Amino acid sequence: MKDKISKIFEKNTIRSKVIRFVFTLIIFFILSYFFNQYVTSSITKNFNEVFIINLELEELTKELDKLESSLEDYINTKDSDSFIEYSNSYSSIESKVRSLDKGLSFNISEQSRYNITQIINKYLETTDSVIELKRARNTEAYLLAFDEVKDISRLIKVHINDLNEYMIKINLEQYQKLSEGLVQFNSLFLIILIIILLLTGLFIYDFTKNILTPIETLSDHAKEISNGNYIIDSNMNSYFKEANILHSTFVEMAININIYIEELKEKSEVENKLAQIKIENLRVENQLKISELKALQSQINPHFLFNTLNAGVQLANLEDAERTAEFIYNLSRLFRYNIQSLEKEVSLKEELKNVKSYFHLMKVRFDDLLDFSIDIQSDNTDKIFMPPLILQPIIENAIIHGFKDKTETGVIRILVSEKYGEVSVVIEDNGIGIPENLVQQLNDNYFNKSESTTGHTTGIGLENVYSRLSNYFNNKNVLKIESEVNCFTKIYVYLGVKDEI
Amino acid sequence: MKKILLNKTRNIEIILIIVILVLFAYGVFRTVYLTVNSDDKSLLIPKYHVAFFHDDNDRYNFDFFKSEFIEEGKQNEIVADFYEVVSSESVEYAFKSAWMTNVDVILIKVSNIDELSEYIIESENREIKIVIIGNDLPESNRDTYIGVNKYQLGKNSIELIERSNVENKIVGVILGSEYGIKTGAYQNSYLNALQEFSNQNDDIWIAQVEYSAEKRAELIVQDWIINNKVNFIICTDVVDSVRVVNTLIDLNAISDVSVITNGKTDEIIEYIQKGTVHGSIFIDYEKGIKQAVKLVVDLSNSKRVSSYIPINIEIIDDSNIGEY
Repeated sequence: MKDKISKIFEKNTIRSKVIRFVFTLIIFFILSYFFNQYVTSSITKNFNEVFIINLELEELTKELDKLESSLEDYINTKDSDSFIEYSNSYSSIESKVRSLDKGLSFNISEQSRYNITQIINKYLETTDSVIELKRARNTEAYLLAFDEVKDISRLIKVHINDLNEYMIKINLEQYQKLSEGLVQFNSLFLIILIIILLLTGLFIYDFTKNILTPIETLSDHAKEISNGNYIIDSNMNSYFKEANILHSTFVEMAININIYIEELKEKSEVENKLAQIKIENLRVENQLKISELKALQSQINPHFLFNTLNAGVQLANLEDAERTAEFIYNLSRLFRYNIQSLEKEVSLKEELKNVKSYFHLMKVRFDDLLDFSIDIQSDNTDKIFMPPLILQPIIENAIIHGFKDKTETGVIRILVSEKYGEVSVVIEDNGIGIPENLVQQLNDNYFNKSESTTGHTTGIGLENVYSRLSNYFNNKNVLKIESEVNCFTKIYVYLGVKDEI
Repeated sequence: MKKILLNKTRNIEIILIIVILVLFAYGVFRTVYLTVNSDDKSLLIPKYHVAFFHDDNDRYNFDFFKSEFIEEGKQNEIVADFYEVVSSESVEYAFKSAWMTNVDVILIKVSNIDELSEYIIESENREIKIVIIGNDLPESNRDTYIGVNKYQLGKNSIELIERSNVENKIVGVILGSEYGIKTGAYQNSYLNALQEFSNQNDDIWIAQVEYSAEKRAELIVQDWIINNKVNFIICTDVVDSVRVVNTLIDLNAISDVSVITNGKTDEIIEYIQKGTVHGSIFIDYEKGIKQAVKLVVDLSNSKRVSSYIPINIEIIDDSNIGEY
C-alpha cells in the first residue's frame, strides 16, 4: 500500500503525471463548487440579515404604535384591558430591544440599532412615568409626559426610518458591488478556464510528445536494427522514467546482439581461414605426391626396356634357351608391372604375382644365397585391392639392407593370411634386423627418405609405401615392423577394406 | 528559453494548481469579501460615544474632516453619530437624539442656527460636554472651541497678496457659505484683519466683498472681470476657488487676475504649480481632527481642557509647493 502511494507521487513517471494532472482538475472543480457555495451563502446571509433586521424594526414600530395606542386608551379610560395590552406591548418591545441592542459599535448599522434601543429605553421610561402620573391623578404632568412620549416615538421612527434607509442604501450598494464583482469574477473565471485550457493543451502536447518521441525513436532504432545497423544513439533524455528504461534496455539489447554477431563473424572467419589452410595443405600435399610419383616414374624408361625384353624372350625361344627366355619374361613382367601408374589399383593377387617374378629374377642372380617362399592362406587375393608396388620395395629392402653383410642363405618368407575379413601380408626375413630405436621410429612413421630408397629398383622407399597405403585405405595403421638385430625382421602389411571418402 | 518553458511544462499541474488557487483567492477577495464585508464589522468595542452635528457648509472640508475623525476615533475607541443640522427642527432632532442615546460629548460644527446656544445650555445641564468647531459660540457656555483664528487668516491672506509682483492690487473677496450674514464677529474678525492689514500697505485695496451664499461665485467673478473691478481675488471656500479659476480660464483672464484660494485639493495644488493660482491658505484639519479626538477623550474622562484650541493655518505658494 505504502509502495503504491509512493509510486503515485514518484517523479517523472507516466502514472504520477496523469494522477497529478487529474488531481489538479479535481481541485479546480472542487474549488469552483465551494466558491459557488461560498458566494451564494455569503450573499444570502448578508441579505437575510438585512431583511431580518428590517422585519424586526417594522415589528418594533408596530409594537410602539400599539403601546402608544394602548397607553392613550389607558389614560383616557383607565381601562384594565388597555393596561394589559400596554403591558404586553411593553414586554414585547423590551424583548425586541434586547435582541436589537448590540451595544456601542463601529459598525454603522449596529450603532444605529444601539441608538434606537437607547431611545426606546427612554421612551419606555417615559411611558412608565405617564402611567404613574395618571395613577397619581396629576393630569397636567401626565399629559406633558404623554406629549413627550409622542415626541420620542416620532424620534424613534425617524431613527428607524434612517436605519432602514441606510440599510437599503448599503444593501443596494453591496448588491451593486456584488453584481460588479460577479461580472468581474465571471471574467476571471473565463480567464481561469482559458488558462486551464491552454495549460491542458500544453500538458497534452508535452505529455504526448514525451510518450511519442521515445516510441518514435525506438521505432527508428528498430528499423535501423532490421537494416543491420546495431549501433544506435544511446542519448535519449525523456521526461518519463519508463521511456528511459525502455530505451536503455533496447540500446543494451542492440549492443548485446551486435556483440554476439561480431563474435559469430570472427568465429566464421577463423573457421574459413582454417578450412582454406586445410585445402591449401591438401592441394600442396597432392601436388607433392603427383610430382613425387612423376619423378619416380621418370627414373624408369619403361617402354624401350619392355619392348627390348620382349624381343629378348622371342630370341631365347628361337634359340631354345628356355631358362633365358623365362628369365627375360619375368624381367619383362616385372618391368611391365613397374611402369604402370602408381595411382592405379591392383589386386593382391597381381601384387603377389609381381613378387614371384621378382623372386625368380633374384633367384637367378643370387642362386642358393637366397630362399624365397610364399604362403597364401586366403582365397580372396583377387578380391583384395591395393596400390601397386607395395610388397616389392619391402622385399628389396630385405635383400639390400637385411642381407648386406650376411654369409649364410637369406630367407624371405611371405605369409598372406585373412582374419575377420582383413588380410595381412607378413614379409619376414632372417637378415641383420633393425635396431630397436629405428624400429620404434619407423613404427612412428618417421622415415629417412634418402636411406630407404637407396638401391631400390623401383626407387620407392618405405615412406612411399606407407604413404600410398595409408592414403589408399585412409588409415594410418597400415604398416607394422617387428625386428630383432641379427635375427629377423617382420613387416606386416595390413590390407583392410578401403574406406570411401 | 524553450528548455525553460519545457521544464516548466513538465510541472504543468503545479503551475495549474498555483494559478487556480491564486485566481480563486483573488476572485473570492474581490467578489465577496470586499463587498459583503465592506461594512465595518470590527471586533473593537467603542468606549466613548459622541454626537457630531454639522451643517452643509464647507462640505468639501467637512467630508475630509468626517472620514478622518472616524478613523482617528477608532484608534481612540470613539464612535460618532453624525447629524446634519440645517434647520431648527433638525437641531431639536439632533440634540434630543444625542441626549437620549447618552452621548458623552457633542461636537458642533454648525453656523447660522440661532437655537444652538439654547440646546447647548440644556446639554450642559444634562452633563453632556460640548465642543464647538469652526464658528465659535462663546455665549453658549460650550466647554471648548476648536477653530481657526480668522483674524490670523485675514492677516495671512494679505501677506500672501503682498508677495505678488502685481502693482496696485485691487482685491475682491468672495466669502464662502461659512461666512453668513449672521455670523457677526466671526466674519468681522476676518474682514477686519483684511482691512487692517491692507490699510497698512498702500498698494493693496479691498475693493469688493461678496458672499457666494447669495450669488454664485462664477457670476461674481464674471461681473468683476467684465467691469474690470479687481486684479486680485480671495476665495474662502474650496469649491468656490475651483469655480473661480474655471471661470477665469473661460474668460481668458488668468493672466489678468491673481487668485488666492482656500484648501489643498489636487486641483488647487496643480493650479499653484502651473501658476494659475497665486497661492492657497488652508486650515490644517488633520491636526484639528487629532485635537478634537483628544479633546473628546479628555472631556469624557472629566479632565480639564482649554476653552480654545486653535487649528493651524498653512500657506502654499510657489515657494513651498514642492512640499505638497
